[in-house]
Amino acid sequence: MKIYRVLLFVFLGLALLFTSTQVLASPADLQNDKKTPGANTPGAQATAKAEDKATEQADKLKGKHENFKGTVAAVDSASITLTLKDGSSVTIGMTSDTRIKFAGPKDSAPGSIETGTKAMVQAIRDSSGNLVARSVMVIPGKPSKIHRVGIVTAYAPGVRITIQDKDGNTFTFTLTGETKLLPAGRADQLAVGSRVTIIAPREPASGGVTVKGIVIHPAKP
Amino acid sequence: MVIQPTVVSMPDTSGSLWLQVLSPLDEAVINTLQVEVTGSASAGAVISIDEEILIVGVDQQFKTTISLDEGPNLIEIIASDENGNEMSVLLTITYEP
Repeated sequence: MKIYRVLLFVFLGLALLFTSTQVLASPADLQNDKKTPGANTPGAQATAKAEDKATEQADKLKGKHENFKGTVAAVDSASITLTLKDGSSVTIGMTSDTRIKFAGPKDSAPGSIETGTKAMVQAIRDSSGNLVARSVMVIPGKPSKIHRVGIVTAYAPGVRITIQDKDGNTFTFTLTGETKLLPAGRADQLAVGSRVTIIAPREPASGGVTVKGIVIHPAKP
Repeated sequence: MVIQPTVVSMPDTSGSLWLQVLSPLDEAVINTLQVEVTGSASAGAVISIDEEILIVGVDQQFKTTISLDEGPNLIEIIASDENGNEMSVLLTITYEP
C-alpha cells in the first residue's frame, strides 16, 4: 500500500511538472522560435539595413523634383501642357495644392494662366508615375517693373511725383515712406527740375503706380 | 576657370547701354535660400533686381544677393540709362532646399 502511495505522488509530481512547462512557454517565445536562425548576427543586421536604405531611396526617387520650362499650349484646372524648347510637349497634372505664381504686384496679377505665355513648372511623380505640378511660375513677356527717365515737374515728398520724359509725356507716381532715394548723398537734391529715373511697377495696382525707388542724376552742366 | 555669361544683351541701338549677366545661370537649381546675382553694365546705368536698386560705377560691375522662395523663382534684371533706354534679362531659378 505504501508503494502505491509513493507511485501516486511521483505520477502526480511528473504531471504537474509537464503542465507547468507548457503554460510558461509564452507566445513571444514561440514567435522567437519562428525567427530565421541567426537573425541577430552582424550579417543579418547589415542586410536589414540595406533593405531599409533601398526602400528610403525608392521613396526619394518618387518625390524627386522635375523642372520644365516652356510655352503654355493648353491649361485647365486639372492639367497644364507645355511646349518645350526642343519642340516636344509635356502634360503635368495640377491639384488644389499646386501653387501658381505670377510676377509683379499681387493685385495686378492676371486671374489665370493664359496659353501662349511662358511658364516654369516644378513637378513630382505620383505613385503611378504621373507628373503632378507643385509650383507653376508664370513668366511675363515683359518685366513687371519699368524704369522711367524724366525731369521732375511736381514733387510732394512722401506723397507723389510727376515727371516729363524726353518725348513730352508726363507720368505721375505715388510715393510712400518705403520709396528709396538714390544715391543717398543726392537725396536732398530731389526737387522740381531734377533729372531722375523712377523705378515702378509696369502695371498700376489698385492704389495707382507706387514708386519703388528714385535715382537722382547729377545736374548736367 | 572661365565663367560663361548667362545672357549677353547686345548694346542698345543708341550705343550707350549694355547689360551682361554673369550669374546665376538661367534655369539653375539652387539649394541655398539666397543667390548672388552678378554682372556688368555700362557705367552710370541704373539696375533694378527685384527689390534692389543699384547704380553701376566706373568699374562697370554690379552684384547683389536675392532671397528665393521654395520652387521656381523669377529674377528680373532691368538696366536703364539717362537717355531713357532700357533692357532686361529674366532668369528662372529653382530653389530646392
